[in-house]
Amino acid sequence: MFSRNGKRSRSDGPPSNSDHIIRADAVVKTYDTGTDQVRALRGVDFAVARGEMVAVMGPSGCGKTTLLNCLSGLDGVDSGKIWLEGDDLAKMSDRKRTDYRARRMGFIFQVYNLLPVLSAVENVELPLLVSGVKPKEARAKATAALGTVGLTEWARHRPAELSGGQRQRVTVARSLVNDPAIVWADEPTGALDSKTATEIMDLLRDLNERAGMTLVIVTHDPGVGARCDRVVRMNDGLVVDQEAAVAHESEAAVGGVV
Amino acid sequence: MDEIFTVPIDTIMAVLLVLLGVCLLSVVWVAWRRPVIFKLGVRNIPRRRAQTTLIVVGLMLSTMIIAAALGTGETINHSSTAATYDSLGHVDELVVVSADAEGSVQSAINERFDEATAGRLRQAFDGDPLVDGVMPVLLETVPAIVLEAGSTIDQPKGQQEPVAFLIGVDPGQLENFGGLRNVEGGTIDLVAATAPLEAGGTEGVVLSESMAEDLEATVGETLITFYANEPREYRIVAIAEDGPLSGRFDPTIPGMVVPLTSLQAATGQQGLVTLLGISNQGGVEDGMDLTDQVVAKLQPLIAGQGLGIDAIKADAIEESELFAQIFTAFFLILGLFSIAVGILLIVLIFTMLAAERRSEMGMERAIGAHRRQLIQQFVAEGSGYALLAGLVGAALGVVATVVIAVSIDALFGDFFPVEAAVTPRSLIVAYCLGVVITFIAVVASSWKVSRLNVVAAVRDIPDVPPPARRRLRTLIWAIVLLLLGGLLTWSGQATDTAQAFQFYAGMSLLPFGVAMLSRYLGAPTRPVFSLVGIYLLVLWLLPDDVSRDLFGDLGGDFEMFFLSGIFMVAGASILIVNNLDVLLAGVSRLGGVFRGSLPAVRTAIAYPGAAKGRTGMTIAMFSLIVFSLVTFATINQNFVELFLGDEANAGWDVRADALQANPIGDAAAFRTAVESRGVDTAQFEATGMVVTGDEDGRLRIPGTGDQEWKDYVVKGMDAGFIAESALAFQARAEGFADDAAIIEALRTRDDVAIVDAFAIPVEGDFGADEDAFTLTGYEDGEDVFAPIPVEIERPDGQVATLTVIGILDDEIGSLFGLFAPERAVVGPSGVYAEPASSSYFVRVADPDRADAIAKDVEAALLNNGVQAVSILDELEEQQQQSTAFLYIIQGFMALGLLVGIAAVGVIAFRNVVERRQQIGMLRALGFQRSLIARSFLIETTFIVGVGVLTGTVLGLALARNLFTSDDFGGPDATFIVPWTIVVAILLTTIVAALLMTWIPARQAARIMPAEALRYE
Ligand SMILES: Nc1ncnc2c1ncn2[C@@H]1O[C@H](COP(=O)(O)OP(=O)(O)OP(=O)(O)O)[C@@H](O)[C@H]1O
Ligand SMILES: [Mg+2]
Repeated sequence: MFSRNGKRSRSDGPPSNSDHIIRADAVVKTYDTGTDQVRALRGVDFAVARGEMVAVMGPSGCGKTTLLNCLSGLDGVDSGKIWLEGDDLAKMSDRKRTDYRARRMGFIFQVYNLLPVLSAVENVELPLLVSGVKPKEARAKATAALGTVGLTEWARHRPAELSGGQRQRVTVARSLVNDPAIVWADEPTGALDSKTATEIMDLLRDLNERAGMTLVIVTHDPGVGARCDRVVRMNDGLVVDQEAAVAHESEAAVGGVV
Repeated sequence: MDEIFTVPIDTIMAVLLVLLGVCLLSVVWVAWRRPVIFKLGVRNIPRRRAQTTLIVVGLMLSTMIIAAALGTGETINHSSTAATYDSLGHVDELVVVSADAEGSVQSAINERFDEATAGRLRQAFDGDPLVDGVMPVLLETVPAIVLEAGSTIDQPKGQQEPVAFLIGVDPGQLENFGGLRNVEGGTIDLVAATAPLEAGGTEGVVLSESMAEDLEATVGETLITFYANEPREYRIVAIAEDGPLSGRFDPTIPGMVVPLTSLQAATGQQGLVTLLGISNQGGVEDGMDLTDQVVAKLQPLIAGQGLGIDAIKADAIEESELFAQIFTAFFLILGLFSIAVGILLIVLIFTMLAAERRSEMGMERAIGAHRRQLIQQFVAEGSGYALLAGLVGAALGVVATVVIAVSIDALFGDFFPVEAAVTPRSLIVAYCLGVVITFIAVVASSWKVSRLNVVAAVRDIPDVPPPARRRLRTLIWAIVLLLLGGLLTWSGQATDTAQAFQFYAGMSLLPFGVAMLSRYLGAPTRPVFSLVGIYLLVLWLLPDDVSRDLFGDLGGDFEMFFLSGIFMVAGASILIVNNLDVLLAGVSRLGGVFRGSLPAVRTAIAYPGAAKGRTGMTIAMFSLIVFSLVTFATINQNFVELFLGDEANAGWDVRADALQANPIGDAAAFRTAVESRGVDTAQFEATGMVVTGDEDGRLRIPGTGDQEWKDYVVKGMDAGFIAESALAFQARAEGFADDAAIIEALRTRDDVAIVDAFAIPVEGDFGADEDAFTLTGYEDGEDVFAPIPVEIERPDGQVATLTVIGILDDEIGSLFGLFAPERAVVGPSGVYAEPASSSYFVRVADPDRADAIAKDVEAALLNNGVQAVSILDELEEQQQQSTAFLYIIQGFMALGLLVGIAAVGVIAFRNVVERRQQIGMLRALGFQRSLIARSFLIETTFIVGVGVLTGTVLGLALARNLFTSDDFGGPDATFIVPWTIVVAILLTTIVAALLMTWIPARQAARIMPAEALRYE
């Protein structure tokens, strides 16, 4: 069993750098709306190293959310390959992918993040319960995670009773609670004032540095981009530029209007 | 059928048509004046096929149930009317021996009078168009055997019938009664056909078709009958159509016919007849219209001759009508449960539709639409559904009627052939009622949902209603409820006909008024409404004796069943919904046991907790239906057990019924007779005899308000029966210390009697026969009563009096009637000169052989026309039949379950739509597909489970209360829970609900997270 697995991973594995936690080769994603076809991703090559913090930027509708969905396995692709920690995503069963999401990934979505019928702490502990953590332990971890985002007081409140920013912070807490290997964040600071946004970014940066958590953050905010290791620019379904953060930072100072 | 609940159906129909017209007009008005709004509403109907289908299914059920209830009544009416016309043909009235002007053929069947009366009457009606035929008939009840090849008249063998009617008719009158027709429709010349082939030869007899079938007899075979214990031989010369002329006027008794003079000669009754059949001018059906006139004209003609008139056809038709009305009322009241559930479903559907379109509606309001216009929009849509659903419902109501008719026919077809019949009128009534109910429910729920908070709706955040405190609306509600409740309570208690219905309805409304008032004054919702719930449960579940002590004796009828269901379920649902979190916490803790499902449990119970209204209504729907089913099934099961208990047969195993045409004599003679014909009487441990004085006895209790004669059978017990019966009494007259004292009195005195428990008057007994005798003066539940004198009309018009000193236990299901010592009932010093029939009772050594011995006895006494049965088998058979009938009713009641299940489907489908994004998010978070599906199934199980359990508990509690009340089994009765049925109801409901959730749950599991998360 061991040898077979070993062989497979050697022959089918990613062509280079096994240190990439995720890697996409020539990924194409087309949406068929019935009347016409939208080519949301038109051959994207993209890789994220373990422990890296990457920002994805680009104009609205260029395919950022689509990319995130495809990479995290929430959506299928039409062609191209995606390697998730060395495994071919296309070959994983839905069950396995779901299980992987529960254990190894954290999500912050652009819209719809929390279950309105559950309290903040119940929302946060949900990923833990799904991956089989004992209810008591889950509750403790969830409470701690809410503490890190400064919402201990609000643990028992339902989302409807929280402000937009508070809800976003609950989402952040939930995405971190299961110590994921990688967190996908689609505009995590979109609805926040700059002070809170900075706090959230500090938190994410800190987790990245101390726990080695990999982060892929979609953002329109150059300030957020500037705090990442790398900024990936997309346009019209293609990655047009992958630059180091240092190079980007000066640019951001020039055109940073959001 | 012309009336329901004493209201003419035509009136009901007219009112409903007007109401339907109002509904339709208001829709048309919207369509005409506000075409845009109308289109906005109607446009929604085809938008979601599956949902529309479920809504139509839910809405049609009211119509279907009403149609089925009316249809069943009509079917019964139609079938029983048809059976009456079949059995009576052209005969409209009978002239029989009677002490007073109103006669009864039942009582007079052994009486004879001069046939010359027929001629006199014919003369009197000569040239009078009222009457077109007077038929003298001599009627004998005899055993009959079709001789097998090789057997002789002295030792007859072959197909046999212990009891058959042999009638003699006047051949000259046959044509006036439609003629005696053979099976092909040709006329039979009775005189020619029955004439002996040679002088002194065997005479012929014409069999009715059904008798020929029963005996497998064909023309040319020999038939033996016995009269006065002498055999007599006939040639079977023809087979005639069933009907009065062929002697077949009772579907359970076969008949045959010979010329009148022939039977008179054969039985030595020259010049005598049993009855005169009168045919009114006109046909089989329309002749009846003249009954009143004919009776009026007949009366003076027969006055003073010891004769009376039995308006047999009109009475039978009237009875059919009454019977059908009782059936309809019964089905309607039981159907009310389903209808109530249907109304809940309508409200639920429309609140959900409103929830779906909340932001849409909020937007409309924001851009200036009036609340009224939102209501109009919903009403347009709702009436679309209602009109559609009404059609489907009416059609399915017909189907249900046919199913019920076929089932009843399968059960009772032998006595009473049932054929489905539904008139358009019933369908119109059902359709209108269904549509109007739906319409009202739609308007009410639209009005409620149109009162949305515009801002909250546009932003799609929950409406936070302003606090009830200090709101004028709350105060108004409080006052209305208090006034209404108070008024009802008062009227229920104060009027001389104290009515449990008003009283309890009032007592149940009052707490809502109090609750509203205390909310207005600022009391918190939860404890207040929890108290209301508890109060309702306590009020309705008070043991019978306690409520009697508290509120006095209130007349309650069958509809109380419905009222109790509604309020108990309301109480329980209010209690549950207001304490849902406690319950949910418990379930959640339970969920911890199945760790894999914990996240599913978590979400599954969070949703019902968040949508309390929806949850509460679903719980109420299920508990109402299950409540009705469980109560009904449990009470019935208990009665079955009660009537089949060890006491049921009063210590006897075999009963042999003998008619008077071939008398046997006393019990000793019976024993000798069977012994002489080869039955081993050593196995007889005891024998006794009961003679029937009059099957249709006329009784009354002197000194009470009602001095009309009432019907009851009067029976006489011989010494053996009195001594050997295991008689137990539930009540004894003063001065009789124990059962033995009563038995001693029966043994030694000539003026005492006992009655069975059916004679106990029951307050508001549903569908009770007004003409049936009841022991007025005895209060149900009393152990000791003042002896009650009962007057019995003698055949000569004199009055005899017996004193009732005991009431038999209702567990003795095999004895029915007023029982007195034999010598007090028949004979020189008795009420009647001669017995009408005798029954011999036998206790045998081995009760398991009762059936075999009964067969032996019957075979041995065939010549006497004896029918023998194992008493326990007979009881069991009767119970099986009534149980089967109750199953049909339960099937009908279970229609409400369909509503509940449809509701589960509607809700589950809605939930999938509403929670699309949330499900997508959960999937992204790592919820496996199966976990999503499981969450839906757990949610359904939880809600339906709570509903079903509540219903079961309430149903069992009420059944227990009722059964152990004095009206029924009494406090000492052992109450049994029919677990098999209860569990079957529980499982079926939950499994059906789960199946209904299965499809939406799978839909939910298939939701693609990326897709779902995209849409706003
Ligand atoms: N399910 C879908 N069906 C059809 N088209 C889709 C679907 N999902 C995305 N698209 C299209 O694909 C393109 C990329 O969409 P995507 O959501 O990835 O953009 P985005 O970069 O995240 O934009 P934004 O910054 O506004 O969130 C858009 O043109 C969008 O209309
Ligand atoms: Mg996006």
